[in-house]
Amino acid sequence: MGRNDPNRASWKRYAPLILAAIVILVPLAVPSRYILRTLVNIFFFAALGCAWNIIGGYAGQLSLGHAAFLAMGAYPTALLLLNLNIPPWLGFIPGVVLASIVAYLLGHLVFRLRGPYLALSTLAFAEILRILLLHFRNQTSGSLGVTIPFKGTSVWKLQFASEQPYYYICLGLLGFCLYVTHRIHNSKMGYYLQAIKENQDAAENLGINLSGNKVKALMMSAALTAMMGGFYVAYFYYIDPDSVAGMDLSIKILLVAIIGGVGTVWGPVVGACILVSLTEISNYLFGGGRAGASLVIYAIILMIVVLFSPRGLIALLPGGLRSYRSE
Amino acid sequence: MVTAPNESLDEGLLELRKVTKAFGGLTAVDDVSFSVRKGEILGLIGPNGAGKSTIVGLVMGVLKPNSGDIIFDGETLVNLKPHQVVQRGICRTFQVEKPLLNMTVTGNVLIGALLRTPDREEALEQTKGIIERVRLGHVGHVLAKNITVQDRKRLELARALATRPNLLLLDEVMAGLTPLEIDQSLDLLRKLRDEGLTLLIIEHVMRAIMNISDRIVVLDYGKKIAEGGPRDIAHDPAVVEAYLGKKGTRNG
Amino acid sequence: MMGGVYALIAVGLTLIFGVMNVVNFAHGEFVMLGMVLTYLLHHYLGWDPGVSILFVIPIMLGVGALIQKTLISRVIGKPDEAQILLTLALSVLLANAVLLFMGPDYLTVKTPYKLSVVALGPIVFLVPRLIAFIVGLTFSWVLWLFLNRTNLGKGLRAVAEKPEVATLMGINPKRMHWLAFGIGISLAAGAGSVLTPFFYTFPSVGGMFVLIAFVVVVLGGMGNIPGAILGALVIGITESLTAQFLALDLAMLGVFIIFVLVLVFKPSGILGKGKLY
Repeated sequence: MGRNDPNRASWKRYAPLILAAIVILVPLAVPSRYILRTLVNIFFFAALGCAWNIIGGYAGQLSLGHAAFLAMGAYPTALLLLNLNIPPWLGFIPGVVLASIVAYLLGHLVFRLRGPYLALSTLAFAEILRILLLHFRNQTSGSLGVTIPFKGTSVWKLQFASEQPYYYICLGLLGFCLYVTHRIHNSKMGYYLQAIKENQDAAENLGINLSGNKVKALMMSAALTAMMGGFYVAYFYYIDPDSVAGMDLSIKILLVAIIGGVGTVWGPVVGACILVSLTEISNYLFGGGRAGASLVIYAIILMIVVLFSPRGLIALLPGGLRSYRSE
Repeated sequence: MVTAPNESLDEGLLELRKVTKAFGGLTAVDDVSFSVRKGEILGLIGPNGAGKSTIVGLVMGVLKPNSGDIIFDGETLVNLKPHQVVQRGICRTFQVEKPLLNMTVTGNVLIGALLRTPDREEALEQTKGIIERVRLGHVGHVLAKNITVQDRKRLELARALATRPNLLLLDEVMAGLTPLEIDQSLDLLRKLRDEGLTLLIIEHVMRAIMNISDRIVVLDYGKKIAEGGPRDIAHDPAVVEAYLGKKGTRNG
Repeated sequence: MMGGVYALIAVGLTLIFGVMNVVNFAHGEFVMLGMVLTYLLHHYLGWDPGVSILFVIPIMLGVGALIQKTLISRVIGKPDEAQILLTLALSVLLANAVLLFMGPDYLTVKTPYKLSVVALGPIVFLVPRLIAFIVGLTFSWVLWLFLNRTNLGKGLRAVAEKPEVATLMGINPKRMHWLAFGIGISLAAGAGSVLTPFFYTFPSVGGMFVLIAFVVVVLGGMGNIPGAILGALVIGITESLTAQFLALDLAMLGVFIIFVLVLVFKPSGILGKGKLY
């Protein structure tokens, strides 16, 4: 099909609108809590994947400890809500600020490292946070976690009995993450990050401030992740160090981005769809008790992607390759 | 080209003053001083291991001198990070090319242009111009990992030019080129110089460097052993000794 | 005391890195596999871990070679991300496959000498830990001997130092690769075996060990075997000290802090990037 093929043009122009319409109308048309909850999960992980993508996909700096930033958003939100009755949509702000500051410091510390050393330090960093969260039991309730009691529907506190409001909130947050990614993708920063990912020496020789750009990307990524940490508290009502700062979550986050497509705006959405659907399918087939099954599948998919389709599965979709920018 | 407001015609655009760099026990650059005048083409030659690459590293801010100073356009470069050196107006090509493999040739050069021209559309215009000059028009939309070695060299040059430097540092760009290609490159370099670009060229291909340099600086074992016009250098006994006394390379 | 075990695990990791330049994020899972295998042998056949280890190591050698040939070999020479992600995926795969088949329970291997102690002067040692320590160091030392005294070992070192030259001398790098990987992970599995009498066996136990192994390897210098042994002892001591003087659950914190300090100030490790000897 040529670039000027009229058929292709209208398909391309209307498809996103149709998709957007569907997504917005689903909760009104489909009453099933299960489906809505699944979709919220997809949006949630897609947003996290998007956030990770900024530093891991565009800049190519693999962070294996991103859950730490989620925890940095979740814990302040939860504790402020529980102890001071501050609603999550205010409470997440300190979390975001905290995550940004930590990202700034961490970035300056570890971005001089490359490859596996960098990945290892991010791992260590997340583990350190998890250990500290477990240790300071008086403040964080340690391994018992923090439970937010549901006290009836309250818009102020973002507590709802039905799924619909959560659906739209999460969709909105995802939209924001996608928007941020889109802006980066098409900006000078997006090009610079890609250059850094391809060849740091060459990038530096073109006047690109390696450390500055990487730290900036990490800060944005951390802030968005922490923001989703706030949502996590409002939606799941329970956090503990292992679930919000553990390796399992960090791996899921990066899986979403990598399997979907690094360095693209929509890759994480694709990745989240695949991942969440697979979890649901495997739970259905093997029962919820077989906790390992879905992760086994993820791991295999990751291996396949790494070995055979490193640009992610979005490359296999029609028109997917154009999601990547090469010039 | 970005114009330099402060430089006087007496001083050099780039000055190395008594620069010394040692790695452990090995002194790679020993008390070297020379300057590159604005608008000239200075050649830097010497046998393998003479310290040429170290000088490049020092100028670009990748290495820090143990002593001495490096002045560009009246201000010191020492303690600047490499990207800041580039922002000041010096750009280099890499001897072993470092293309951004998964981007097209246009993309590669565009990133260079973005340094001075943040607006993508304008930068793209400049990029196209540079690509044409350097004779890469035929591979503009090809991924950098799929182009020939010669094109890779041109890409190095194009990228460096895109950053609109005042001083271009060319690191062995002639290696492996046919005589015709060498002449084409020399032509291009002369044109660039005529437009106001200053060039510091490091080379092993004697034919090229003798042909194009206004002046030449010769290094051996980290020390400057000669400086002058090409004809003087060619007859300088110290230079001949340096090259023939060891298994130095001498292509022509 | 754990230093000996850490040494054995780390030495395998650093060997793999030295010879193949691959950072094996799945290394901890092989420790776990060793533990699981030993547990099964104990549970169903009544074998003592001391016996099992002689069985576990050769088996894992084969398993390692297989994995290397099918998976790891495909990412050698590819960019770092591919290696990191592949071995990470392998780690997740192994941990969860075991979770699937054996459930999440914490398993123990009960041996008759589990609680016996031995007194050396004023210090009292728990026998199983002492055995683990001795076995760990011994096998590490055996590896070192192997690398320095045998032709095969020298072949490994040759590929580690100068792969191009090794090929010229008739050494097959691919063979050395699977040998190195096999040895590396079989040692890790062996470490797992000796751990079983006093350490819980469960599917995600690998995660803890791989981190410690990496810290040790970075501390001692990537690819440096004596460095790994030395580093392991240092880390083992750090862990005990932190647990005693700070708090039990903060033990790993001390280890991590050292890790970060080393990475920031001397990434090449105390003894520097080694050549395996």
